[in-house]
Amino acid sequence: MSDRAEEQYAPARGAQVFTVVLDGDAVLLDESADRLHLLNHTGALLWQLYDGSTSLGMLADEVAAELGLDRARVVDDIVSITAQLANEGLIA
Amino acid sequence: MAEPSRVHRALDYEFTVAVEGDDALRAYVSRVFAALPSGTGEPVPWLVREREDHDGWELVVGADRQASGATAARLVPELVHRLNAIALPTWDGVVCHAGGVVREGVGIVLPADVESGKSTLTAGLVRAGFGYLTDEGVAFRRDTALIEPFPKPLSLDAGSWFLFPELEPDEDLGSDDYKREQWQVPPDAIRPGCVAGPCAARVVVFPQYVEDAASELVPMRRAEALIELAKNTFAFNQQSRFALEQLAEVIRAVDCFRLTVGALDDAVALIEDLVVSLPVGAHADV
Repeated sequence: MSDRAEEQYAPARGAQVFTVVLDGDAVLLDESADRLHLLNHTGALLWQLYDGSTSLGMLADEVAAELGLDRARVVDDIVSITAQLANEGLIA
Repeated sequence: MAEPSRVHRALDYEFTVAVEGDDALRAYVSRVFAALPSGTGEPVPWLVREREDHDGWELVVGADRQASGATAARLVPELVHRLNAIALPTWDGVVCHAGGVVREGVGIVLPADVESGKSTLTAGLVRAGFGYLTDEGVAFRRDTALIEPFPKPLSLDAGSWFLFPELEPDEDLGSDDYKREQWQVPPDAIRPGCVAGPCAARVVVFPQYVEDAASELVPMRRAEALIELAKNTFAFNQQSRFALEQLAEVIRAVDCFRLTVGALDDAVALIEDLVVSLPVGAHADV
């Protein structure tokens, strides 16, 4: 998948995933697999922004503008984190 | 027919214990369970008796034989182990595999696996003046998340006996089988009047004994602590969402630490200092 295609992907949180946010970190309970996952601040922020309609490119635009970061680098990070969550079966 | 004891209450489980034909053992068992509050419901009868084939003794719970041993004394640790196994699942809420103590209203939860020194640390803290809640299962009330005491006897393994020589049971039971592998220590034997009432958790400390290490207390992130606490929760997968929600409610209200336990006295001192250092609002009258 090219970077351009990845940016158009709009992930949604899995329906079987229950979320607890603590001090900006997140604990995810995947009820379909009875597994717990820990997300740091960045992962937790991203997780809460997954709504099934906002694309990774749009998320990168927001994050890069808000934090004054290089957009290309933000895209890399967001794609990487999203891929990890998808590999864990947490994303619909 | 052996005379049953008073009705003991262990969380939501009520039981009596009768011992056939061994007055010394009956008296000892009564002392071992003395800290459990009295129940008022329909207790399950526990009976220690000689086997019908006269080949040893057995523990019968209700109508089921739960354990057997060559001597009646051998069944003392079994009484405690079976109580843990039977009583903890009856609690209508979350129960964590943890020790629990309290001082000045500051409830301290000590979650840990077996062999991590949980009971040893709990005993050390009680000896130092902390109130005793449990050394095995911290039960949180479903509605308020207060800790419900489960003041079973403390089960001390051989590795920690040298730290508590004054607690060695000394009973005339015709055999040392009752203390050969583990001591069952009534909490009042450590410090009379040490059993505490329900309280709120204010600190969660994950202890780990490391031989010859320097005792050290290191803060943890709450999310990390929540996962660790969930891993130490009985039957977590049978009630995972409810359990995680209740544990999160607990964790939001506490400070969380990892504790490397080297010398016991140093570890106890670290926790004493921690309680003193908490903000005034963290201390509550109970």
